[in-house]
Amino acid sequence: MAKLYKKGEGVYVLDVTGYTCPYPVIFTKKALARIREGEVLEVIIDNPPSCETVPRAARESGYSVEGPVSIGPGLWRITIKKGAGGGGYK
Amino acid sequence: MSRGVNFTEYVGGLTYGRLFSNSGWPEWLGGILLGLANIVFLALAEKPFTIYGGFYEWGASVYSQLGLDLEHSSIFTNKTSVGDLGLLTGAFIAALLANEFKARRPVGGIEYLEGALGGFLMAVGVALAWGCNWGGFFSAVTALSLHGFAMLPGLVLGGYLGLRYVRWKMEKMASVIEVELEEAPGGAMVKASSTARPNAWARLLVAALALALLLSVVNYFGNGFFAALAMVGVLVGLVIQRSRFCFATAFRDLLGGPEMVRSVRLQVGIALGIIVGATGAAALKYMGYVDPGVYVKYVSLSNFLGGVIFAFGMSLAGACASGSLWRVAEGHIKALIALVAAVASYPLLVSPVREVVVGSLAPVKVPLFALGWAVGLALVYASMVAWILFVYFLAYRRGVMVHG
Repeated sequence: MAKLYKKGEGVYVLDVTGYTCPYPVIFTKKALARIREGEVLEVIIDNPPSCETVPRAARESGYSVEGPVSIGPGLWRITIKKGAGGGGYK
Repeated sequence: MSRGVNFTEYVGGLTYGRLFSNSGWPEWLGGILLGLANIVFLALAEKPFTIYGGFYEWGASVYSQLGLDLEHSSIFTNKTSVGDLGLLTGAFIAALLANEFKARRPVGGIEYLEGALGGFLMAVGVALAWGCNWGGFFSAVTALSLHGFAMLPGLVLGGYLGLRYVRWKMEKMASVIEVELEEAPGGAMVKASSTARPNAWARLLVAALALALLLSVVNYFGNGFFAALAMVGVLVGLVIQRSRFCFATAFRDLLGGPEMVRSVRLQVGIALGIIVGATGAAALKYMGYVDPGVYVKYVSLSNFLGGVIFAFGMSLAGACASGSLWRVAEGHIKALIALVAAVASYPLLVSPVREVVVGSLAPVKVPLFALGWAVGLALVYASMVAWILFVYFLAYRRGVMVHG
């Protein structure tokens, strides 16, 4: 059961720690479907291959991605802005 | 002297920058390196790199302590076993240096069940297919044995069934994502960057100690020859962890799975590794360094069936045979459960299952080099190129951009 938290106005956190492939990608897509255009999703992962696959899945949907940023041993944060060409994100 | 950074940061920059970055190595490079490692292992051990012979040894050693008499040698004087120990250590070292080691508990009880059942099913598949994704497929094809080719369609079908299971599970769990509107409570998101890069020197020291421990223990209880084989296993583990060389993803997501791009790239890596490995294996066998019959195993319908069961099992467990060792070394508890289940069940069921197969399906050994070495090798090259083209066609048909 992945948890989606509301961190602030328009910013959500999806915690998929403990999950391995392909669940982080599936949960990220589901969470992105829940939030609105222009809102931001921070995905917290601890599955190393997801460092590549989660950003790739978000980019394939045309969203801008920042990270993965290392936030601890074997722990990363990937920031996705829903909607194309969001300011401040590559 | 580089200006502005101290030596720790300088070395850290080198390691984090490329070799031990969190984006890993490309899959094609991983495949080629695994093909090369397979040749070195074959030249030293006179058998290709495989996994499950070691699992048998581990399980049989424990059962023997419990009074059950299973024929075996010892953990440190079995070629496959020391290779597996090397793989574990190599993956641990790579995970440590990349700062990717972390104890990871599965989320929910179903994951524990999946791990145990997946491990058991993989053991059944290995018994039927005369090997796992290595001994029954990767190293089998490099040995120019038909039994490797027979497992491949089974792996594709089993991986597809695994994907169907993943989708079914996600539909059943309709409320997979629970939205909680309050502030995120502690845990992962709050403990931010303070622990991002603990002392690189400490991790380097632990990695060096792990390697020294492995080699000295294998050298002490076995000998220098087995320590050398363990060292090849270390390199295999390093490459697998760094290139995220996951056979489970390669077969589960091949037919339109959520990680299809990675699956296709892994399949290309596997095919390139087989081309490299088969070239070396054929040379060693042709020159008489290795007996030509090495790793030419039985083929019948059971290899296909074993492939189906094995691939479904690895989809449940989230990792194949080599993958379980790699993920255990990274700290995944679910992979550990799968590994324990496989090690516990394989020694007990391999002989009875193979007796039934031999008795009922009349399997035969088919070496491709029976047609001549050039023809045998050409068949492997042609089939692997055809496989790459087929896999690219699958991606093309779905409009998936695999590269770039």
